Amino acid sequence: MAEVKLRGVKKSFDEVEVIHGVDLEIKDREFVVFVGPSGCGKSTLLRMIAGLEDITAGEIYIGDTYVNDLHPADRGAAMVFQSYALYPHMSVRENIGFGLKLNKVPKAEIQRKVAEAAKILKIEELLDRRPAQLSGGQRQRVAIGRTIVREPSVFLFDEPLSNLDAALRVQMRMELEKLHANLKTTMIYVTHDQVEAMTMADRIFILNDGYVEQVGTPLELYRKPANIFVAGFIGSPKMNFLSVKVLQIEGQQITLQLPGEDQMQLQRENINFKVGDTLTLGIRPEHFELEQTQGYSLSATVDIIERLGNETYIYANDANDNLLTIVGDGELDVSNKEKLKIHFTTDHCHLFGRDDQSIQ
Amino acid sequence: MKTHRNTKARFVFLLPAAIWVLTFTIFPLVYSLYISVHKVETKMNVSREKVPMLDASGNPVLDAKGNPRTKIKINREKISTWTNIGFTNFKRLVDDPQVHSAIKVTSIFVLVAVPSQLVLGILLALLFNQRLWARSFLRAVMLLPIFATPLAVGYLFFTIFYEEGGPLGFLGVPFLSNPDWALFSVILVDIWQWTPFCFLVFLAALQGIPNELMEAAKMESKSKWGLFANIIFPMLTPTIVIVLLLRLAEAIKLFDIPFALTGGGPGVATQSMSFLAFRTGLRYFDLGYASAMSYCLLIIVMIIVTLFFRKLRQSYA
Amino acid sequence: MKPKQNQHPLRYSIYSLIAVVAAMIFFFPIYWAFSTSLRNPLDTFTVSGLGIPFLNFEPTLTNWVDQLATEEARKAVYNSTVIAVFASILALALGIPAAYALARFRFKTISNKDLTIWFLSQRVLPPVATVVPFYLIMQFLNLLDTQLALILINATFVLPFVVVIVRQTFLDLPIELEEAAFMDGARNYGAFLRVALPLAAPAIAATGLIMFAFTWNEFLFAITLSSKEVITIPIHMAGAVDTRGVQFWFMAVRAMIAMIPPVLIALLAQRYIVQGLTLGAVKG
Repeated sequence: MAEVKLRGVKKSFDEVEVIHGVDLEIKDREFVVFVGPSGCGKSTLLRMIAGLEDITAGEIYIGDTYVNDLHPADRGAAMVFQSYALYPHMSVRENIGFGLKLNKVPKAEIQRKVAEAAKILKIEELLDRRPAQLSGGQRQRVAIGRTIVREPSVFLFDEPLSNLDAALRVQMRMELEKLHANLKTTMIYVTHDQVEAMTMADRIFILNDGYVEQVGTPLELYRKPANIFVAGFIGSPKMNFLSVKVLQIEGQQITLQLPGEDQMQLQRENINFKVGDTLTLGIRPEHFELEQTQGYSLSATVDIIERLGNETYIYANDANDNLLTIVGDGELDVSNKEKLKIHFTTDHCHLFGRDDQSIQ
Repeated sequence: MKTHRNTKARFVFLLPAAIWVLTFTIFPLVYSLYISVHKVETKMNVSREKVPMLDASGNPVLDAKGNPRTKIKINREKISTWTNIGFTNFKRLVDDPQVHSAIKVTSIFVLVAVPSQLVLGILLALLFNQRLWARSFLRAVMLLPIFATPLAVGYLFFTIFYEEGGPLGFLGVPFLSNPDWALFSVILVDIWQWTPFCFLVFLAALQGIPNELMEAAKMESKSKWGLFANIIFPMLTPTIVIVLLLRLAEAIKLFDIPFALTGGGPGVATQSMSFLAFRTGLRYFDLGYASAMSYCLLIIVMIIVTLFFRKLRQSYA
Repeated sequence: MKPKQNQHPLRYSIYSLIAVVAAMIFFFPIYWAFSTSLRNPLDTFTVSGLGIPFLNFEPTLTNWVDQLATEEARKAVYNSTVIAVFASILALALGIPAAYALARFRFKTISNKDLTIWFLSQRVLPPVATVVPFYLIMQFLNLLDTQLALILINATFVLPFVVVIVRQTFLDLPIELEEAAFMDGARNYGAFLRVALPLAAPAIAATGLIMFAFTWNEFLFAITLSSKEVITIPIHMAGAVDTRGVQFWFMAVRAMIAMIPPVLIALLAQRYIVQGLTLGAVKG
């Protein structure tokens, strides 16, 4: 049983503030992912929860305990490191049982728990090997086994899959999801990979430059990104952004100038801009259609075509020479330098103000 | 803010060593300064007394008549008198011909031995950075002198430089009997012992130069000399400075080799500053004067060492 | 920079030849001691050529047997061993925790860097500057001519090396291993004793050997603080001169006994010599 609470948490390295006052609450048994580009402070934040980095300001609670001044050993958290950090001088068995041994758990019980964890992770035949004799995937399992046996109140994962190849990553991802379903413990997972975040998280915390940009379930973030950063970060390929000029405002009805000749109309409640302002219109590549639908359209010239088999990525220049990405069918009939009409509907349009925030 | 990086535990780790160094280095140095402003005279008071003879179990030994037998015990008692004489000892240094000679000997030694070791070390390192026959074996052989007991090395060379029948006897050189040659011999021995160290360090530094840099440089400079002067030497310079300062600080302490090889002679031709201070203090028991001498040596070393640590501090950054 | 692979055969031969000659020059004195030690005293000055055993003279082990039979020689070996072993252990016991503290904790009043340099600076001080005070202190403590005095002083002089080499070893260990130990429930002592220390063991062993060699070779303090009981090998060597003139054959044996352990150590601990002797300024 442990929720994790952060209140106004700040971190500075030699005068430079890298975490600027983070408030967040993670519910008990929740699988939460911290995601963001490298250097956004996500790992630092995780390490502060673990107790491996000191806290410049603010408070951290695990369960009801104020843990700021607690040694990492006393916080009841377990962690899987990016490098796995297996003890090279111990066998797999000793690695997994080390935490229990430190806590003076009787030998027989250590044996039992290690065997149990090994069974769950399917590494029973590896128990007497040294970490150096294991493959990347096997090391990963041992690192997870080491955390399971301690029955922590919070699991912390610091980019645990980034050293694995793509196929293994997908497999381990699913196993971690299963693990969470079985253990029903709070898990905090740090990654720079938005696919991992989208697939595994109950809730995602998007971090950028030491700020939490947005919190929500994967679909909330996909559907309603709060700002340009989140909109661009979640979703692959990246959302297209167009500069659009406000031509007219009538109540909640806005008329915008699209690149080229066309105009469009949108409904928005929160009008915090005026005629003549330049806003940003965001449309996901998968929401562009090449066949005629209702709604609006843009003209563009095909520049590059990438055929992935199941789908096709088309990169095309709009009237302002802005590169747009369009996702189409695998068999799509399109050729280079072809002039396209790209269609979209207002349902899939995201509008961002001059402050980069979403306009609802 | 309390974390695992600044817990109280860090003092438990650090303090034993720190206190140890304070006790065993700083305290003696301060005490040495105190000694150096004193005239210490040590007299041996010898007294004899009759004491009963005891057997192994501690019972008095009786003679035939049943009286306890006695023996004469000689009590040697060292009595030291300390007189504060201010800086007299330091003033004495200025006019003492022994000190002048020791400074000269040490200076010549340092100024010849250290540059020779550096130059030879660099040349050997360049040589061993090539492809060679049995390279690692030869390299290992080159390392043998580094830890060879300096005193043993001194005695060893005493047999090698022995003028009648030694292996170098055919040269007819008065290695140890001529004052100039004697100092040169001391220098030779030191070069033998410390060139391998310079060699090893420079070889490590050479092997640390990235290959790509060398390849790129070869494209540009045509001659080998150009390559050395424009690329290798500048890359080695920081290491050269460090080795130079370290060797200077070490060489100034010269003691073991002349002790064994020449005994400081002939005359005072190879009596280094350390040797003189040692003799003054522990052979003639002029403790105050010896302390003053070694303090001056200390100051000279400190100057070199300060330069060294300024360099070292940079290389830590 | 790696040695070049293709090289002109002639150049290769010439360079190799020079290297062989250089190695021979540096090996010759040690070889000469070995050769002399095997000669019959009468042959000492009469052997021809390079004094190659069997070729130039009939080798004999008498000198070795005679030397090792003397009580003095055995005492010297015993004393030197005891002093070097305990001084090394003491220096390691004090130096390893300090090295760990400098590598892993943060000190504020004096920075880690300055503390490290302070430790190192002790090493470069001329020992002669402390000879007189140590003599008086040991006299006062009634420790003159004891193993303890030499153990304490040698430990002091080798301590900076331990701090340098072991600190660097700890810095080179991935810090996540100790962090993983924290997460596994270890405190600072646990992470140090169960994770960092075992992983640093090879470097610590090498450091111990180097310290052993330094202490084994130490002469100035040995001659100052010992007179007749605690004779170390260097003092024993110095004794070969006074009595009946110079006995080259014994001197050679003694020199060999003195040099064999440290020379072997130089070969064993090669990797750590550069770092250790340059006080960490150059990495080997």
